[in-house]
Amino acid sequence: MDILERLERLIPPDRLARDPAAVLVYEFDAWPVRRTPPLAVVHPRSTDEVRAVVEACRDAKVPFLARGSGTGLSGGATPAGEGYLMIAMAGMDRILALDAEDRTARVQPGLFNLALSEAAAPHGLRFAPDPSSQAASTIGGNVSENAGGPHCFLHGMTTDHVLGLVLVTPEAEVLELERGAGPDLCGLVVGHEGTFGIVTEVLLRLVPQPGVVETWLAPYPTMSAACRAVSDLVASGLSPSALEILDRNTIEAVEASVYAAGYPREAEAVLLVEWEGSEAALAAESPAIVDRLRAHGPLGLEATRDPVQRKRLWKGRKGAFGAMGRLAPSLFVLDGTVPRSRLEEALARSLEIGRAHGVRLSNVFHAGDGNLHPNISFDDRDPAEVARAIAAGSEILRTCVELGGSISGEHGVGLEKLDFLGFQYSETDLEVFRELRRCFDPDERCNPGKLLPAGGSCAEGRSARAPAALEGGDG
Amino acid sequence: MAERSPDPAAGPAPEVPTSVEALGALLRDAAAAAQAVAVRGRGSRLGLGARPTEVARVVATTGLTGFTRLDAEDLTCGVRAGTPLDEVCATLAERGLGLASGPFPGTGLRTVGGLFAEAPPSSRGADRGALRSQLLGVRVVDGSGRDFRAGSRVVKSVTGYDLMKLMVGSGGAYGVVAELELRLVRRPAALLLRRSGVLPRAEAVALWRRLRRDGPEVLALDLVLEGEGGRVELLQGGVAGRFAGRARVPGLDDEEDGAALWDRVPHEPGRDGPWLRGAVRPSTLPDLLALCGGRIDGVVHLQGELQLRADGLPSPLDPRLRALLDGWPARLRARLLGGGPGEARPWIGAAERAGLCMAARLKRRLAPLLNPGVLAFDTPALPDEDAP
Repeated sequence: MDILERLERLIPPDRLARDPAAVLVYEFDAWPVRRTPPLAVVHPRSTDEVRAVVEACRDAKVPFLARGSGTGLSGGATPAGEGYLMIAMAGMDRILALDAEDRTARVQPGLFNLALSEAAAPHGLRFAPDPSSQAASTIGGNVSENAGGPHCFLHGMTTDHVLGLVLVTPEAEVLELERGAGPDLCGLVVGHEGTFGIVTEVLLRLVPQPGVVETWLAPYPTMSAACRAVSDLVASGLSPSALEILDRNTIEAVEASVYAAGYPREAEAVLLVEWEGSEAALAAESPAIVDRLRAHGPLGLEATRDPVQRKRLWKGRKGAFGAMGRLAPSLFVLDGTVPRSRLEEALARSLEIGRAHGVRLSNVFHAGDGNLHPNISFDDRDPAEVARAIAAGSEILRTCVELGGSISGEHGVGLEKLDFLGFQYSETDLEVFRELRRCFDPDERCNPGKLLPAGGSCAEGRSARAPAALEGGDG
Repeated sequence: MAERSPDPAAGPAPEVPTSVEALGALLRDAAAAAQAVAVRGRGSRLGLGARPTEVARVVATTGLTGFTRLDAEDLTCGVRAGTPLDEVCATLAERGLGLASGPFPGTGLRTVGGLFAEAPPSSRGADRGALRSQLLGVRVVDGSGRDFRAGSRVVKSVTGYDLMKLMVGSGGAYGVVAELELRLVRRPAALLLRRSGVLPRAEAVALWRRLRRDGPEVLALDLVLEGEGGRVELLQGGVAGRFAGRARVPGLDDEEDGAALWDRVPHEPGRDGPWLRGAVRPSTLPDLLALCGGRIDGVVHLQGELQLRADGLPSPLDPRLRALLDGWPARLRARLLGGGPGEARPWIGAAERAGLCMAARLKRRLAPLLNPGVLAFDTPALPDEDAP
């Protein structure tokens, strides 16, 4: 019996798609460079169904991968080759329990990030990680990528909010992992990019809603001034919840779009600062924050607690990636991280690299965490332009590592950054990662070709998988 | 698993490499000879790991000392594992910095590597203050002598597997952490401790739960259990002047301020076990304590992390207490650190079994002969059904 016949016995026909037209929408996620349609798509509704499907894949030696909403930016939910089974988790979207006193929620992985905060709001609680895609991205995807967001500056990444999870391994074992005394396997699984198995339940920590939230908009005449204001705030020990910067190119794109937020077009950079907590704490910290913002010569300073005005200020930031659709058909969103004290240098060098490769670069980023998002706008129908974008992106990520940083702050490695792992890790480091992976997935059947080049070195991985557009070109 | 008084004279004399390369050579040599190796720092927690007499060699990290970097502006640092924890804390304090987690009992006896290997609960463990959130990157030598890195030096990175998490709290079972990259915080200019008097236990528990639900923002909220009573301590921090004109918090009448509160441990557990350590859902805390007997000594932190002196627990254990300890999502996984009468082994719930098999598989892959016996799955409680 082949895999599809077996799946037909396991999954009702309305939750098993095998028609080429029906599976086509699963051929890529939000990383537009690679597209491969899956063999078929199954929509399980329970841990038992996931386990049965994975067991079928194990027996038939069929590679598989999970997908939430497909909002990932590194190709993590794109099949790396032909013949993969896609396990679509979006239908497992229930909140199984929400305990207000314990501040926990036990959820299925297909639940939207924002839906959890909305469900927790009546209890005075919320789920803190807030990636820009939070209205559409799923908890399972957030766990898989260890997602961040603007407010992880204060509250931490997804891993800081996961208390336990259920994992179906590629060997069809069901592991219940919980954080407590002893080795933190749960922490090891968060950020696994779907390579250790399929997460089917998550126990999450919720945090209290803040009493007061105040947002400042500080436009600066230079990017350097904005970066210095951020470094100053970080080093001071003050505790804003978010520190975000948009550069001039992004401001122009946003202000010309439906996401217009009223950012001053004459600014070279706008800094968004948010603070949350009690009235007493804000009264104590606010003067010091304002002093530091003013010390670096802003063009103005707008502060608001009004929810409507706050939403307006954030609209431009949250919609920045969408607004960049005006600039070119495709967007290559980089995700490097540098020490906060080296933001200014990293940005200057990124711009130089962009100029050298003749690509259009916009920057919108989580400045408080040193997490850059240099965005390269390009036309994916032009192989030479794709090659220039890839070459510029590679050089920028190499620069991040040279400055003491990382090639990914929150989007993950996926397919996108396989060739860049060697910037950050030695071959021995990668060998250890491969051994970890094989403990969970001895036959490398679960989302193969992601996070790590399968076997061998990065260079071998590149030559085996990369499309022609990424191989040559003039970059 | 029994916690014993360290006896420096017992077992092989510690070997003290002074470089990561020498540490690698030592472990390669031991692996080639199939020798089991115990790892120690300053020896303050030897009872948690392998008994030195049961291994062929003992390696101490105390030759690997000092900061590799200290970036006060970026609030990060790199430090070698054998550096005494009190030296680390003092160096950071001179610059107005510290670890978000803490304070930890026995700071003067520990190494920084040992602290992360044990990962004891602490008062300031709330939100992203958990010790595991402070470890940004590691340089590790595994059981075969391989020298590798994971993580990074920056506060945000998702590149590669989060191998640092596996190292925190695993007692050196997966490799010898030689260098650590740490996230730091600036010590608050103002600290305020508010506390209750000693109350009947039920009242203290109710006060702790109420403050947890409705109280002010805190750095720490501890329920300290003493015999048949208990008291509550609440620590707040902020910028200078933060607490001028403050409002009173009902139930917490005693107040104290000052920078020294950053290092004040609310409850110093004794060195001799047995201790129950884990985490409890706050809503089930009254049930748990009711099953623990009349006199209880210990502390419960803000997120439900707890340390209880276990030798007063009834034996055999009440099945309802066992159910609390075993259950998921009850979120209480406890280890009995020591030999209480009739309960000298860790409690392992059925739901954890497959996870522990995976933990054992990882150990066999990375460091099969390193610190044998340090983790629960090395005990006879879990059959070796997963052997390759």
